[in-house]
Amino acid sequence: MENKSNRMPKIAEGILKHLLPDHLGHMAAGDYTEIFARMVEHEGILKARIWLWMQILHSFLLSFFWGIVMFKSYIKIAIRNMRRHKAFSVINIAGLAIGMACSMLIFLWVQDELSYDRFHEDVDDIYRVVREVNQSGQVHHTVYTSWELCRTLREEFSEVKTAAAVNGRPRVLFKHGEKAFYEDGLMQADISFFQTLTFPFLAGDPQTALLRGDAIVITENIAQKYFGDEDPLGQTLNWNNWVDLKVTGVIKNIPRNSHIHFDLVINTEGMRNSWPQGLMWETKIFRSYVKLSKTVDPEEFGRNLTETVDQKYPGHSQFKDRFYLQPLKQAHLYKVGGGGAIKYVYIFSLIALFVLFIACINYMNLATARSASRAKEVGLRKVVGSNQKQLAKQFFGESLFFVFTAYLLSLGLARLFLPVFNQIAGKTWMVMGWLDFRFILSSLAIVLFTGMIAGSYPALYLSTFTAVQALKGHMLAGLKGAAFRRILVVTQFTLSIGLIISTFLVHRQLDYLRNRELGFNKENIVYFPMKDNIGRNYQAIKTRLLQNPNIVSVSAKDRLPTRPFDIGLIDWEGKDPEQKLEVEIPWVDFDYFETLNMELLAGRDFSRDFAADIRESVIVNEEAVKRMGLNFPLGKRITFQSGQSAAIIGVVKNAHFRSRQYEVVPELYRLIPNFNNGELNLFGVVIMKLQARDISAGVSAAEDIWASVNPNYPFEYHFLNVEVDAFYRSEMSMRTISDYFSVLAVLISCLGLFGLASFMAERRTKEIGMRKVLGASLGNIVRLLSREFLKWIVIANLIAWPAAYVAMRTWLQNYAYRVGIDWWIFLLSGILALLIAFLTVSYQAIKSARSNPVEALRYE
Amino acid sequence: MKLLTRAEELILLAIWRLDTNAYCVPILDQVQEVSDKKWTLGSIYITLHRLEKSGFVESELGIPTAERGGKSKRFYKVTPAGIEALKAIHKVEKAMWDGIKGILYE
Repeated sequence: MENKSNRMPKIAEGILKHLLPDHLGHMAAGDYTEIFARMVEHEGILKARIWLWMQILHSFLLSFFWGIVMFKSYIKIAIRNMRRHKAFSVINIAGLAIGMACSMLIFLWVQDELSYDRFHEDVDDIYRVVREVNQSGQVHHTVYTSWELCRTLREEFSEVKTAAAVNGRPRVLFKHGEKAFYEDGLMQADISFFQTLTFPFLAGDPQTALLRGDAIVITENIAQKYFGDEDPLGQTLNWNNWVDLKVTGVIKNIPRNSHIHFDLVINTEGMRNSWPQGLMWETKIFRSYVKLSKTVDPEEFGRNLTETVDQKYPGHSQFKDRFYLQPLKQAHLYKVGGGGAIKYVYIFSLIALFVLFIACINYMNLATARSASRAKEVGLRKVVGSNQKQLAKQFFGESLFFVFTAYLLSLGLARLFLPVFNQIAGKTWMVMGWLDFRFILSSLAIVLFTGMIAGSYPALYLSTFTAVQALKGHMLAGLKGAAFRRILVVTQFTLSIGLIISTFLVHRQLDYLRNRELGFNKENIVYFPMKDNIGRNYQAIKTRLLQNPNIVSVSAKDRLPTRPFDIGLIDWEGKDPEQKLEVEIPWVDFDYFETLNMELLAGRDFSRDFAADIRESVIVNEEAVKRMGLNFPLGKRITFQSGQSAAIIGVVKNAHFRSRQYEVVPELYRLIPNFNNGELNLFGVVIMKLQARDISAGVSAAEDIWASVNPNYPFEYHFLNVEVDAFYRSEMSMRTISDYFSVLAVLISCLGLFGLASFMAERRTKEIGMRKVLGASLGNIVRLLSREFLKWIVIANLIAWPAAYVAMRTWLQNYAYRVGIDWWIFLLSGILALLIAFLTVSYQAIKSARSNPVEALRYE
Repeated sequence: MKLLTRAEELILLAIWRLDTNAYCVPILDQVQEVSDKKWTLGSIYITLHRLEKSGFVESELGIPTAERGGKSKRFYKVTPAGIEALKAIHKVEKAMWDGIKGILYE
């Protein structure tokens, strides 16, 4: 009889066990089993199964029906409660909804930050090569390596599946027929690039797209821009009036969550003719990506790589270089050598948690305070036969109902404020992932958690009262809850005060960075590229520009001041032979320091009166003097790697051209000997200082001259201050976000305090009335009501101060230049919190203190 | 005294008829056969539970058998109070039907 086929399915048995009352369990299971077996025998397994599930469905619906009946009653009570205490409910739900909306937005942001580069195939096996450079004790990390290194990886390591090196190219002109645009997104890459990083192709073959020397792969945007609706494959694109390239592939636009961005890709091999040194060990401008076999340990591979390269190619670097691999998934968030946006991910997650936590505390606080006054309801329900389990269910359910309402509201709020948040966070593209599995799951988890915690006090504590206790002794419940509430309020304000302090310090630090003396003047400075004929005719053009009254001074430089310079090793008289100093060598024209208002601290500027200045003079910055350890720098001779030597003729003040998060590097300025030079053509810029009163006149003068010299290229120009301010854009947006959230945190805390204060005042209506009758003044009453709250906030201050101090000290350590943590910030934040709390509480206090005692005393 | 419902009446009678073999499965079969309708086991349980609470039936567990997956049967017996209740409902029905013409026999 006992065989598998006519046994009841296990799941069905399990469900039945749950649905049936305990006293039936065992026997009923037997009955079902018996009938099921009989039906299998007579009518077949299918019919038996259908019968069984119909039976289960039937009982299920039935129990559900009775559940609904009770549920309706609970909902009704919940809604009545909500109506009766309107202000209370609004505060409660609004606070929670705001908190949840905040954390949702931050969650979206964090999720987006974490989604970078995940779209590549085998992303877990892809790494970026990092070079750790040790300059006589000074260690820094960089992703820039030689092309040769990547070739070695590809050809000499069996563990490597593919490897590709890429190099971003400067802004350059592209033409197709009549259409001509400057493109910033040109990149050169190895043939294997699209096998390593699998950007999806719309047309063409990723395997062979870069095979030909004149191949170019473009994004859909570029294809649209130059070719419109024509088929882009096989079309030609003219590169900077040099050569025609053939489009061999079209890729989708680079997703915004890629750490690497480009619009056009050409083959690196082209450099063999134009700049063969570029592909040698000495030129470290490439970023290398490798895809390893699954079994390879990346750390060990890095050690192996360093060893092999050191052995086979001694002298591949002037320093002690160590290579290691960084997982591609970390490329966006982790700056090589430490730091990076990951700290914001942590900070923001923490803030989101804080805000949510404060909102939850608030909710719990108000809910418990209010539930104390429901002791009577508990008593009455018990009298008419409710048991503890039912009451617990009711309170939990009610709490969940409230929280769920808040949740729905917060979804709406988050949706509403998403565009604003996007704008602040600089992520115009971020959309709400309504259907995102993780999002729904985690937000529901939050809802359940908050609801459960908030409901637990009335559900677990109040429900244990006997009917008599509950009916006569609701003061007891109120007192018991007070200690709990006190702790919650203190916690809440500790977090709020901590956030206020952090916000203050973040502001001060970022303002400090922004307003730190730049060392140069960024206003009214316009620059344009030294393209094509400009370099050849530089002197004549400079003269013509200076003839215009709107142009104050003109100079030139080999690179944009804000971009990395040429780097080289130097030697000087009296140098410690062990010491190796790498410096940046900016090449400039006469009048450079004057144009940018950079102050000379000692010596003189380059001058046309000294013929030797062209090749044999150098001006150094303060940092270089410091690092070289020179007491009397003027006249000291410096020898460059090329073998040339020059004497120091002047010392210029440190200038912060790049983000002031970093220290200034030593710089050695030299004069550009020859303006007709290929590199200047690519990277060089002409820099003009314009009269502030008529910038556009200066620009149009430059444009006229450009048009006469360079008819083949459209004119372009840029403002230096735009470039410089861009360094602070991400930090400024971080600042704005943290501002908003700390204001919100304080706001939510105050909402909670307000609710609590009004609740307390309501509970003490009678007492206040009597006190007034007996002659208490308004001040007395206000003091009475606010004293307790203020005491809590003082305690919160004492906890928040040391915690915020430790946290902020850790954060400030990220900055090379940082503000001090002054004690008055703490005091100010504390007083601010106290003040806000006092205003919140006293509003309620004054309201009840001013009420007519007669009203108060007859309120029952 | 409250009158039995139709389901209670049917089940009580079924138990009486089944005598010593009155457990849920045959009861179900019996009422289904007589009423020519599908009943769920659940409705049998609910009715039996109510009858037992009112003292109209009593029950005892049988010995577990293999055909039921090692679960035991619960056998029901009509109590004297149950018999009284049956009599009462029968009396009411009989009184109501008495002298009715034109429905049953034309």
